[in-house]
Amino acid sequence: MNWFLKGIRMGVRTEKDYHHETKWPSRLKRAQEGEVKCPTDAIGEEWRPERCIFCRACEPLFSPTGETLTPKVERSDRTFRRSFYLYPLDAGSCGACNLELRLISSPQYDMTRFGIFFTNTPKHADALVIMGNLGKRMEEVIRRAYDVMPSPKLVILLGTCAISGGVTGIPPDIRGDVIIPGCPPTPASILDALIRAKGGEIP
Amino acid sequence: MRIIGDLGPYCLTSEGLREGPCAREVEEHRDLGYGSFNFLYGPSAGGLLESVGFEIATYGESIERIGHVPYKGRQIKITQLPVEEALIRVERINGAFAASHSISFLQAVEKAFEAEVPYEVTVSRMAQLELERIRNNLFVIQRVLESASFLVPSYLLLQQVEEVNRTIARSCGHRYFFGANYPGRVECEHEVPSLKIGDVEKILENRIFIDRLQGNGVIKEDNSIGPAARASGFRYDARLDSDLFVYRDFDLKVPTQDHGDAFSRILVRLEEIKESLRILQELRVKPHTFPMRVRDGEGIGRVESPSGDLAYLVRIRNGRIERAFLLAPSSVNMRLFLRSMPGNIFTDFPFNWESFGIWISELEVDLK
Amino acid sequence: MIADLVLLVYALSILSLAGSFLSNRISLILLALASGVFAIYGATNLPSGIFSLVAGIVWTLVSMYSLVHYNNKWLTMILSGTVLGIIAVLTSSNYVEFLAGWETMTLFSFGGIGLYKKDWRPALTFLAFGELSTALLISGFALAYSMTGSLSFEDLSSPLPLIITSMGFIVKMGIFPFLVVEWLPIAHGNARSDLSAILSATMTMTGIYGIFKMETLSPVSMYLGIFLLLIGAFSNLFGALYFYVSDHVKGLLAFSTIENNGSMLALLGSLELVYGNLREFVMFSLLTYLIAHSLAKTGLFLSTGYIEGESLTTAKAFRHGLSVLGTVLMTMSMSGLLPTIGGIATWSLLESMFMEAITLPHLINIVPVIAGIMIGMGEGFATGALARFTSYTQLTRQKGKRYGIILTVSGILLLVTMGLAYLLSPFNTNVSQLGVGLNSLISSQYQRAFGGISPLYVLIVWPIIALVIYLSLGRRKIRVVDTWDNGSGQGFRYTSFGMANNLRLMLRALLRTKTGSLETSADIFWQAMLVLVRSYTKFSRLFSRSFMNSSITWYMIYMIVAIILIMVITL
Repeated sequence: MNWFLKGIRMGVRTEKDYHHETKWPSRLKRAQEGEVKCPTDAIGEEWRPERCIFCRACEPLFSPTGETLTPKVERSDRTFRRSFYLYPLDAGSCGACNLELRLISSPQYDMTRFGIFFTNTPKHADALVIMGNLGKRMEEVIRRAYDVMPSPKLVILLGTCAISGGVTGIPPDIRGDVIIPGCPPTPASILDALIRAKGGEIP
Repeated sequence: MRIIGDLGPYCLTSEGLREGPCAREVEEHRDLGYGSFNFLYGPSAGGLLESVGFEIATYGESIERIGHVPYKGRQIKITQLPVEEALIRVERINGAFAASHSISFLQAVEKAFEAEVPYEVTVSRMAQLELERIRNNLFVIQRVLESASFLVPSYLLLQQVEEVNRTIARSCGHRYFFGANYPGRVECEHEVPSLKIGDVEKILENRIFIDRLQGNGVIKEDNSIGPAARASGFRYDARLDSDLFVYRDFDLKVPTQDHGDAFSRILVRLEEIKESLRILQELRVKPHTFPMRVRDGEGIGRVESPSGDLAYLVRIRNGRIERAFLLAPSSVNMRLFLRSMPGNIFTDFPFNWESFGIWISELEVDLK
Repeated sequence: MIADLVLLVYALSILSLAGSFLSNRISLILLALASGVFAIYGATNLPSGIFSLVAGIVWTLVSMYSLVHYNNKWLTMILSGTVLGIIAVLTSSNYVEFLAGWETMTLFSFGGIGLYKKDWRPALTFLAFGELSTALLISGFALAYSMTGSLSFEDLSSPLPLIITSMGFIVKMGIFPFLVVEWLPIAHGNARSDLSAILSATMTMTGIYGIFKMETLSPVSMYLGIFLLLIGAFSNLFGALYFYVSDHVKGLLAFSTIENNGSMLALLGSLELVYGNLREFVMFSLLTYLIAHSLAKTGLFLSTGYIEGESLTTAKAFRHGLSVLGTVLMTMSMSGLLPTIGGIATWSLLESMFMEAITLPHLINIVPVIAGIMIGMGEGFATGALARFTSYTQLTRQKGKRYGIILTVSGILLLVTMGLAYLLSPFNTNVSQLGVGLNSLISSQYQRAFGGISPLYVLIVWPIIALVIYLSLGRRKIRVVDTWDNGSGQGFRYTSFGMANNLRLMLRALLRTKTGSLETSADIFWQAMLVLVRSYTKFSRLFSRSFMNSSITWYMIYMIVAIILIMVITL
């Protein structure tokens, strides 16, 4: 089987604009007035996506817009604009964040066209992507991974569990330079966040 | 009767609960002597999707004995919570098997409530389970291909995984079925992913790829579940046992293989994708609600997750969960994996490991 | 003049032997002097004096080392006696002198191996094979005597004595088929480091010398050449395989000796097959290999003196900048890397095989091809094994107290003797320089030029490039972090045994790997040989009960009497 020929015959599967409508998680907007009982206190004066687990408990007072969630990028670094190596670190996730992160390498999204790659050791990494709640013995692992990374380095918190804990535990004790909300964040919002973290423009 | 696994203080069999843990052979630990040492793989390595440790006793290269070292150790409290709130957490025990977990949990609750589940809801749940099976089996095969550095087919499969995820999102609103199932309600619409299974099948013609899987991690054990059992000739499947589903109406075929190695497990998963796709095409799914009366009681729900039997035992008092136990398929599969590994060498590890489709998230969870 | 030097060497070494009864220190100083003079004797007598030169250098290093580290009269006496025996072999002018020296070195080293461990089993193994080789030599020499009617080394009309004695020498070198019984590693591995060095670096060299000497006296025998070439290459490969899988600190070095002896035997075989320019080149190859092996092996064996424990996996060792430098140079040389003498030796060995494959007649030229393949593989395994040895004895160990000047000296000698290679090289002027500067090419040729290398160029350009890079880039900014052990915080543990296990598993059938056993060994052969050793033990026990009472005193008397007898015969 010649995979090369097969690849050519298949044509381009990569999407120029990889954003597409997903109801949950997406940006929520208030549709009706009323008191909401939110399990994670994501709804106070306004809706806070970094606390939201998109459990639909607030429906129909809030409704999803289908628009990709906007990540919070507090620090980006132009050093990474050509190549940006990620080391994914699972602190105690449910596995969905791990899977969604893997999917940004699928042909539809194709992270490599933006110069984003995975690496197998934090020693080669530009950013540490932390997913999930803080697991029983994971605190030291996170600290060690962060310590061995060369500077400059970014910490990316992926998913509500890693940002604020969600409903299943407490978040790891580390400050994120980039915060990607969602439970789990969609590949599109992960890719948006990564492109902005490396100082690029979202197509 | 077949033994499925430990469910809290009980042993779950195909005919119901038995008191006490399941009987199991005690493994003897012989002294490995000069030259042996312990090698820790993990907790966080590029080859591992989730954080987990493996303590490998070796003479170098060889795997003589292997043990699981937990690192994630998640604690999730669902007792004393109303069913709806417990469900939010149950969905997040294992994102990849969220439909299996929530449906099994809801079945247990419905048993406790002695509720009648309408046909439409049952069919919708079957559709969710089959979609989840397709996604997971594609992903397992992709992980094995990635371990072998077969990147073109690996990306091809990732594309199909993403395709299934989008189908799930269109169908149920969420790519991992979070919030798709409620007590008395199901949200999904009818959607079938357009997949190219032929492409996947052709991958398995590659001799180099097959060589890395054949004879790797042979395990033939009566007390096994899911694709691992079916790969070694046991026609075990919760879908055949359960009367909560209507698989019989769809003439479910359960594929089996004889060798019990990683290759057989991959073949079984591939056949399952085709079968699930067929069933999915025949099902008619739409959102549905039904009434449920809250009462005290206890029930067991069991479904066939992509990696085998998944069961919940739930007791409810005053509308809140009094106690809940989980039988995660990954715990049974982990035991099988650890038993199948000795005698192989380090490089066999990733292929065998990925072929079992184990998720650490549900394995290391402690339900309070 | 030369005869005077030999007399001086004899006098000094006999004095050293006698002096060992009085003072350890005096004896060793005398031994060092004797060795030094012997080296000079060799240097005045090139190229065949290479044997003496190398032996002299080795013994000087060893006696210095013993002077600093040991204080045991008996073992010093053993050292002097063994050296005396080897001197007798290398300077002999007739068969009797040769045999006398041969027997002296065998007996003394037998005592050394037994005394060191207080365990006579390995010593008896050594003696059994030593006597087997003596028996073969005696028959070969007797045949030669019957041909020429003279005991002195004279030209022979038939290759038969050469063939018989070659078998005897092969036994002593631990070459196949005697390789599989591992007698040499067992014996050499159970001696004190200094004696191990002498046994491995110079006693096996006497075997090479013996065959070389007999070859110069005998008519050319193509069949013997093919035989030696093939079993040499075979021993190289299998020596290297066992070298790779062995975990015994000294045992693995002894396997390396077999591997190197195999290479030299292949070259001795080649000498029987080729003529003209190519023969000169093969000679050059043999001599450089000899220098490379003896010097590096001495240093490596001496380095084991700083290690506590016998198994590489559990041994305790420390490193120090100087010892690391020395050991790395030795490892480089043994692995065949330029600019050390070992690099030249390995290159020229393989070049010889290539050129033989081109020049030898049809069908016979398959032999050097096969031999070259085996040697190539053997060198590869040996490199892996050496990397493992150096890592686990030096590189990965914690810093310790300052020691190892002698190791540094041994290591640097391997660079210095590169000059000797230039001196020995038969044709270093009339080839084009292939773009290499300094007019420093050592070339290989048969009827025409074939190839060349320039170790001097490497030696000079190498530091210059490093310096240029350093000066142009400046001091690197370095941040030291922990090893990434997948975050466990336990570090990575991997043992020496583990590193070699890949080969044990792959060659399971060949090496008869059993899990959980200390060494992997060819069981069938070993069982057979154990029977032989056991019967010899029985015999010697009977012998000692009747004549020697198995006490050290009687053993000493036996040895002294033997020497006096030998001296009388010699003079």
